[in-house]
Amino acid sequence: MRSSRRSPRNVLTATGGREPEVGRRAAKVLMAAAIATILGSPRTTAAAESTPAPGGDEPRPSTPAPPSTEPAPAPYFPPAGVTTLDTPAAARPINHRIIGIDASLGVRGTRLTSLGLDPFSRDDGFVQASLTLGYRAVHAPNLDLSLGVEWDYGLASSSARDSRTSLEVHELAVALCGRVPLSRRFAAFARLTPGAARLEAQVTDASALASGSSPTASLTQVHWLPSAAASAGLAFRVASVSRSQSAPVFDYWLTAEAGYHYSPSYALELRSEGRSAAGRDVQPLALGDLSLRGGFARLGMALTF
Amino acid sequence: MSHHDQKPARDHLHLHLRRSPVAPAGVAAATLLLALGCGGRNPVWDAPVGRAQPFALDDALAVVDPDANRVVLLTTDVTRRARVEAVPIQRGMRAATMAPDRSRLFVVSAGDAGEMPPDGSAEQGPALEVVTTSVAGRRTYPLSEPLDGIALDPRGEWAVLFASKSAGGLVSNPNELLLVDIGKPAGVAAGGAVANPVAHTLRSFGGKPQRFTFTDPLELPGGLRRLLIVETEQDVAIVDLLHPADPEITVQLTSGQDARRVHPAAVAVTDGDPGPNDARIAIRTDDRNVVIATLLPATDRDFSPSLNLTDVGAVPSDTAWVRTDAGALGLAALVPGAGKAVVIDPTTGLTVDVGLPAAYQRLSLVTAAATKASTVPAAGPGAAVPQPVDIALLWNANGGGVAFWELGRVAGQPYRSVETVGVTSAVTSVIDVGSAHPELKILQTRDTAFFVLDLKARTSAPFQTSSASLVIAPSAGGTRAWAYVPGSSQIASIDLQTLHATERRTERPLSSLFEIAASDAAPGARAPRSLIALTQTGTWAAAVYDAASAGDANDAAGDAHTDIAGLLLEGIDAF
Repeated sequence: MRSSRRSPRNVLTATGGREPEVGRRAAKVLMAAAIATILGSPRTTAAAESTPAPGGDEPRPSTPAPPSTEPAPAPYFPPAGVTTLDTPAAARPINHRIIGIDASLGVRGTRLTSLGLDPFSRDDGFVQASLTLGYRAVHAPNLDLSLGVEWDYGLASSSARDSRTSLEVHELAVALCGRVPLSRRFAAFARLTPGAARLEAQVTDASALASGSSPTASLTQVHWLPSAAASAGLAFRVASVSRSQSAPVFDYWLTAEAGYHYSPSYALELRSEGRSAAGRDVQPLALGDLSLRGGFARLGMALTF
Repeated sequence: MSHHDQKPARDHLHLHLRRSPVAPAGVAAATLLLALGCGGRNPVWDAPVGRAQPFALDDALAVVDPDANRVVLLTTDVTRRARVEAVPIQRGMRAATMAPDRSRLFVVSAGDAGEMPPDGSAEQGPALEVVTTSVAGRRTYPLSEPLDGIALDPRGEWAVLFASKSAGGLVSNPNELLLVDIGKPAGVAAGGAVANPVAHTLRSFGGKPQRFTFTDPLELPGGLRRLLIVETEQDVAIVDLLHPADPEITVQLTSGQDARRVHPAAVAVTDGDPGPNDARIAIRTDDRNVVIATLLPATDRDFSPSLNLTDVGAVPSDTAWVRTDAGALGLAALVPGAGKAVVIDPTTGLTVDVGLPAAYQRLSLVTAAATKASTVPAAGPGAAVPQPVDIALLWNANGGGVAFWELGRVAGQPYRSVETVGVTSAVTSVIDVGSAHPELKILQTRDTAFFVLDLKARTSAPFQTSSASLVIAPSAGGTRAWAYVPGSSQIASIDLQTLHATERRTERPLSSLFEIAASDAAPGARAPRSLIALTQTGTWAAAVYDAASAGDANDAAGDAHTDIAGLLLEGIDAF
């Protein structure tokens, strides 16, 4: 039991070459092992041990680990069906297959100073979840270019003068990404995501006309806008996982980026339709202009293979 | 903690950052994410709406929104489109009232009242603000004190500010008045003294102001003057508005030898006959006396009151100056405790009792509207035009119905006998209909009924209602009356010519109903009027109807309306 707990630390010690923090490293390897198990018991290797920087999808020659100054670690006994490339196998020439898929999941926070956001948020922050799926169209030793689709979803909710408010945003964009390896672990990347945003603003208020289908009365507006974002950031490879020497290598990344999001402003005009009634002319509730413009930061996890 | 203690900690942090490859990116990302949370919103978005109060100006619905420091003006155009404008007012709103002619809204604010102003805001002091739909008509009068009571001159020339019972200051002087000439802008006299408003502190014998009465121009010994009559709990003060800073005249109602306090109940003012020496103020008290003050020339000032005390036998409930036969002036006092009225000769103090069929409590003069052509004495060739004899409408809030009292002298009777009308319910209020039908009055009762009284024909048309809490309001032109029950969705329109009632339903339960003029009528044209059904739930909603169509049962466009929700959310983004 004791030796199996310590074994991940030993593997990473060999790759990192220095004494790491035990808990964090152990967590990384445990995560990698878990993902490998989910993917069908592939072979696991430590981060950056046998693969080059992201974008380098060429065959990955193994490089020997720097000599460790640590005391000799306890023997590592991998789980059944999982083997590592740490020592003997690393010396062999390998030729992993490249599929060219990039997938990422992240959290994006945008600082929106538009006054139109005030009814829906007590501060200027707007948080969205991001999901990106792309295909590496260009592979070069020092550059990857990928083309994909990005979906962002965010919901801000608050109250305005005792009425509940919400702003729900879906964004669908084409993701153009270029990535440059900086070292074995790090890569820099830049992204451009032109697309469209669907904004649904809602105020739930007793003054609104209740419709038959909804038990609560609300004023709503759904609006589509063009949008675009440009960003740049760094990616840190946490782990690389492969089932065999010819199988694809799954690279796991942590990414951090910053950029600017733009969309044109539009007039917030919420309407309360209620049941249909003859002679009614609804005058919308004007809440000012809203624009999704501002700098943003995004933290995410990415998988490339 | 000493420096020796801190240093290792910094070293440890530095080492940690240097060793961790993720740390720089993590710190940068965390910094960015923290920056996202910066920036607050306008605090008005968090302000409650519970203290908002609507006022129906002639050309706008004005909603005083004290927690947002603003007045929301809702105006309409000829196509029923509504426009919402938010007019900022000072912080600390204390009171708001509308001019009697509905042309302006007056808002009294305390400002920051010694508290720190909000971040980024300049300090604000007490002020009286005049809000109109016209930007040019808006004015601000800085005040020296954070007062919270306001009384307005019906002629729109003066406002008086005072400390009411709800004044929240640590110490306030209720007898300190601020007189504002609202026909002029705020002004500062030489030496820094405020010329408008004018501070006036009443000389008090223990009382504090209860009611204010602005008189019409009176022919006084010193010339044509307007007076402000201030009723306190135990005396009456008379302020000359031509010299508002001068000491007032105090009429004490209780003698120094009497421990019992007499309280003024109301005043009635007359200019008398043409000439300067017969303007009179009648003071009704809560005992059986009526005090008549005749304003006569004085040596130390322009005029001085000469007092005459008259015992009417019991506590009077209402008084009015009336013209009896041959235009003789008299003071009519209703004395319900004795079941009579008393007519007092102001010159001699002699009284004439008139028996009444019921204990009427209220009296109002309806001479012009109730005079039948046949009853006006004809003037012979070359003769002076006879003055009409006053006709008073009598009613009672506790039962007894309504009666007409004609004050002309006929043979065998000092005054013509009283003619009752077939209304037996207790009448709670008498509502003037307006210019189109000056002869009509609407009598509201405590029961599920109201009456339309025709003063000329002496008829009373009853209307049954489904609720005793019915609210009735005549239209601006007097052609119809609107009726509704707060909380219900029904609006009734009564055609005052045919007395035909029709109903319409609103989509929401309505809280109140207002009729305003459209703001973009052509010059010289009579502005079309909009009917606004206001719902004071949530952030308030309004339905705007064309008043003419909504009140016409045969107009198919009567249901057409503009619906506005979230009224109190409008305009905040512009602040």
